[in-house]
Amino acid sequence: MSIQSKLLVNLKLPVRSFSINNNILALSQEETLFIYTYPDLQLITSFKEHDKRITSIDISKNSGKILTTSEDRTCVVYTPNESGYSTSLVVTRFLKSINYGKWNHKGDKFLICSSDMAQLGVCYFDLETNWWISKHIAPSETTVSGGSLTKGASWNPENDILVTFGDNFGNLTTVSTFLKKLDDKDKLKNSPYGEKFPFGKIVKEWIPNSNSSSINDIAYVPADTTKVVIAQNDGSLTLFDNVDGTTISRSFDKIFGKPFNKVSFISQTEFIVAGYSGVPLLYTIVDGSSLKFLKQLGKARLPSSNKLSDNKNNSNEDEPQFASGIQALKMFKDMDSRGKQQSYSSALATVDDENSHVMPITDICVETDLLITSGLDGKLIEYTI
Amino acid sequence: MSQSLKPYLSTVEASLEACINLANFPSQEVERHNRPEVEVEVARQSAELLYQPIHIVRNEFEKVLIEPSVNSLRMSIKIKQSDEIEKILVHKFTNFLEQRSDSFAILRRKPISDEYSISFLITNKHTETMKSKELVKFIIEFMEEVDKEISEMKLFLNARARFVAEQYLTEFIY
Amino acid sequence: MEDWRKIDIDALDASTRNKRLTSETILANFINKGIIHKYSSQELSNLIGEISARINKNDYSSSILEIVVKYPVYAAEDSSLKLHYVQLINNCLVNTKDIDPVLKQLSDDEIDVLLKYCYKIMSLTELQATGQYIVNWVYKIISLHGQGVVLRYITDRKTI
Repeated sequence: MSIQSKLLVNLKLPVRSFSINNNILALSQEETLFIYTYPDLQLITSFKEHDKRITSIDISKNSGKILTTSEDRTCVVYTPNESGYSTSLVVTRFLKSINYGKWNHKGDKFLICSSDMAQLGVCYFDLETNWWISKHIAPSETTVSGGSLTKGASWNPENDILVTFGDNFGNLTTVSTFLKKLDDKDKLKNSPYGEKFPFGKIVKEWIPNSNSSSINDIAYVPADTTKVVIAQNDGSLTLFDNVDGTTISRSFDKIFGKPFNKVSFISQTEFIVAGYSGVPLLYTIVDGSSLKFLKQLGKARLPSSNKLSDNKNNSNEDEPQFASGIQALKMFKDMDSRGKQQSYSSALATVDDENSHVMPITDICVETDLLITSGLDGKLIEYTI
Repeated sequence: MSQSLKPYLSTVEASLEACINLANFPSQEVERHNRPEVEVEVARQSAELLYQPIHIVRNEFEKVLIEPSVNSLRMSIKIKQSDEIEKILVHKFTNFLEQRSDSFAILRRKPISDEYSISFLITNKHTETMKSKELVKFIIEFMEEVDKEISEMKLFLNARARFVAEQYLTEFIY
Repeated sequence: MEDWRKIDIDALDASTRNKRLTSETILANFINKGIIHKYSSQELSNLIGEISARINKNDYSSSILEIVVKYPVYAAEDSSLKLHYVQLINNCLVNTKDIDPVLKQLSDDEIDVLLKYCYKIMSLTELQATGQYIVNWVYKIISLHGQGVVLRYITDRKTI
């Protein structure tokens, strides 16, 4: 079976985050947000509401509202109207960068992860004051927690009220974001997570695998929301029982040996992970009890020195000379000791496949049966799953 | 490459590859700042942002220290110096490079301590503009080349010294 | 309040600044939670005795297989005793001639533990003279298991 991948967009600056929903594609280049139609990729408009790097983008499926979070401590909500988009600033009351924002399924509130105080923010629009309100949820006093929340946070798809998030000290926390005005109590009836869920209640707190390695992303298993899949910075994928706090299955990518940034489910049991290797991988959960690697998406790229290759010298002769260390050193020497200035370009430029990432994947999106990934190399790439 | 050098360099390479997975990390302590966490002064460091340092030691005279963190890594190399001349040459050579570290992106302006001859500092800004694989390759080539360079310079120096001495002493031959 | 000028406002700040994590807090947290066992001097002496006995019989590899990787000493009451323990392990590693068969008998988790000891040994100045042998161990470990083991080493906060 041939797996296709295709270059969608190629930009100059890293794409740190993007989102596709309702035929709209939103992506950022440092401070600027660009909104395109999808799949035609016609530029609709661009915004420069932030004065520092945009860290994440999310489009709400229900309302079409776009959310951006930024290192300048603010979030902006872009609401679609007849003439385009109207923007409103969300004052988060966090003093440090906002690293991640995610709409709930309904699209009336969103969570934010900040570098500040290891607290989770929950924002919603208050009609009476005509203003976005941000509330904070802190981990319990006794928990030893890292300062920053990582980019991993996920709404429980079953009730849209519970949120599970990770921090850079490997804590996995599940809290309730129940708001009387917005949420329906009945959704939490018979929840395996307990009985009462007042706003800010810490439902579960674990250190998965008890290694305190930072949690990069979390996704609820759609088929069974007592379980989550977490990607940790030690390169592991864990199927974790969030109610009992036990590791059900743990798996490593032995080919690349690099950590994953993103986990996203494409069906009840199948999910895609992507990260520092630059290659998305498809996994599945077998019988709700073990993780199984299915396939690699896109063209197979030779893994870097996953195992120390003995043919290091051969590869230099066989393959076209890449713009590698030795040339850089030579160039530097030439410039410095011999006063030579040569352009370090075309002839030496690498011949990478343009349909695959050469740098880590930062974000992924699944649209019908296509997977789209963004990378630090400024590319958006589309794969057929 | 000698037999014992290969495991050393390969280990350094694999260790570097494992450490170079750097992320953008806005400071959790100073608002609106983004700094390499490994360079933050010790008293103000947060332990969860630093990873385990790696020492790779061939012997007392040749070793490498890699200090990884969430958004930066620092790598220090002690270049082999077997005698006084090599000591001087290594000092001059690294000093020369360090003074020009601007055109050399990942080079640190001075080594982290007297124990090491030269240090590199790689931050997420570098891995976002350069391929991390190539950065690792570059450092490994540097390690390979620098030993050669130093011994070449030493040979050259000795040859020149011999020549000068001969020239000087011919004066006294009748 | 009269001397309001002297109020330490940073102490009132709920921000992370006041909760900076140190490696000591992390270790204490692990011990509290029962994730790490803190070895008493008695327990550690027993391990040392066992390994020394085997070394006297010129048996080096069995201690690695049966003791070193099974009982990782992350925390110990007496740090000088722990140093002595690490020195013994160094002795075992340096004197084990045939590395590959040893490594093949270890599980993934045990390899992780062994690698922690290897890097620990190389970080001690007094053991650096024999560094070449340890480098060889690390080299073999990485050849067998890929660079993922190094990644696990740097991110694991349970440290020797």
